[in-house]
Amino acid sequence: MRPDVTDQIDNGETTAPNAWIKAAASAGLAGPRPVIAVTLYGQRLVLFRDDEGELGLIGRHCPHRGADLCFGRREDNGLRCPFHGWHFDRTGQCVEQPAEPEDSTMYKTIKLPSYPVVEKDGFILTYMGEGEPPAIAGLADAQQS
Amino acid sequence: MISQKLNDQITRVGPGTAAGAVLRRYWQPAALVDEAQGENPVVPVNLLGERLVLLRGESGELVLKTRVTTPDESPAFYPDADAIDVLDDGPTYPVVEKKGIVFAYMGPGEAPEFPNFDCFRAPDSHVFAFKGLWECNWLQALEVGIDPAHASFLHRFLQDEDPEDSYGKQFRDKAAHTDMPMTQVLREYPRPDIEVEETEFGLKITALRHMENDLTHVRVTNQIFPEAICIPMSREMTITQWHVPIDDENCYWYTIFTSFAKPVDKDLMRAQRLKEHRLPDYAPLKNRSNNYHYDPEEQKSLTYTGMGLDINVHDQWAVEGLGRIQDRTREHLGRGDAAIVRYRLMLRKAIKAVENNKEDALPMRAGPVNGIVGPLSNDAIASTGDWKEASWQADMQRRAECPWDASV
Repeated sequence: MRPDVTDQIDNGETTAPNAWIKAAASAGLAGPRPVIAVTLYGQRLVLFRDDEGELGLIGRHCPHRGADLCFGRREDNGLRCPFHGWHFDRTGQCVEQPAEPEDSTMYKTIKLPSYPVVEKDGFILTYMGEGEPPAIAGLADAQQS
Repeated sequence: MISQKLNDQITRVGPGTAAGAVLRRYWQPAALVDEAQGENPVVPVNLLGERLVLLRGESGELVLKTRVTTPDESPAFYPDADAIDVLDDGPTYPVVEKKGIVFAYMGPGEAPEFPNFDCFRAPDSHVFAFKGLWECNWLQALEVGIDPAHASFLHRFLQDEDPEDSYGKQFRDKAAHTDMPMTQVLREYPRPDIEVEETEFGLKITALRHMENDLTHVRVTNQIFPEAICIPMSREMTITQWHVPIDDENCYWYTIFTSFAKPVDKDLMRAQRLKEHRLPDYAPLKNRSNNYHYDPEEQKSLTYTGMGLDINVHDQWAVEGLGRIQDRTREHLGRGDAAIVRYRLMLRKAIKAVENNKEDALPMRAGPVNGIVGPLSNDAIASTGDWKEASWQADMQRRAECPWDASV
């Protein structure tokens, strides 16, 4: 393990360190439907890859009434809640509420918590600490290769 | 969003709680008559946080008594009859059998009369009752039933089944008098206008889906206070469904299916549902522990959830996924949730009325209730300008052709 990456251990701790942490192994998203549940520091999250191949790590429960987005429909470059079709992009922003009236702009005010993610050495890392995340040594090289 | 304090007040129903005191003023489904067969039935009943047993008293009448329990019992614990001991100094509650359900009255004073709803008026040949376990609080189970928009998503079928194979299933019939399957109407018109009116029994909820050619699909559903809904299932049948608390974190749905014209094929209805549940606790075979048999391939091509064709499973996933008691401090209700908002106000008003000893202010608790009929519960397609009258006429026609007295 590298000193700039901390393993998440579910020991009841709810305060994330100011360091990049391992959220999941990349292999966990290798299947035909790259959507998995992740619980980090007491936060229930969903990790997924969108149609552009980018990763999102966002709150697991739909902000509408709380449905479980781990069973979300992976479509339209995001995750769609099967309960009422609310659609979220990889930043957790709600981009569509298809059951609300056509003139509703409520979706613009709805955003799930989300955390930055990078993929490195077979792991998906995230930063849940305070302020700006520190640089990860060697990351720039890894991305170029 | 509501406060944690308010969420606790409207969800918790054990002895001594505010919402529990409201529910106890109404008859509660306690068991299916199917469960109480034989000469000396001894049926465990877990209701409103109390551990009870249904058996025959000295005069041969069914009564609900308190049973001896141990602290490690699971919430829907269903011990064998010979393992049940009656707690002699515990409360005893009156029960009545009605249309396949044993109802109990657990409140103070006189039990109220039953209203004259279709499910109670129809002859035994035209009703069928069943139940199922959901592992969550009763209120979120009720709220999915008064949310007309969810059917366009949660129950969306990406392909339509032949309505000829629809018997005993929700949403598989043709819509009103058209050849369009109900599933197609729901899929193609996902933004219903929702109107909510308070009635003497609860709420009348009208979902209007404006279609092409100046036509409107009108779906009328109802909330029956405190914890039931009455909704159309097919052109022939309605569903009257109670969401009955076992405790704060588990509930049973109890449904009376009511048929207008033809007698209910009870054997088929029972077989369809027993295939999806285990006995004796009526727990669904698809559940949280096996991810509701979720299949991502099916979710791509056939159903919105990937959890099979049974809409009960979709609802179960939705409400159990909210957590044991939905955290309403984080919710964001929209205009589609109008009936939910209205229902919570009714419940809070009822809680206040009980606290102030003004029980006459509770729905269906003051004065005669035998004039409370219906409720109108159906799907119709009408000219947009005429939808109110057309919805009423479609229901009247069904009632007029019905062999039992369904007049309203």
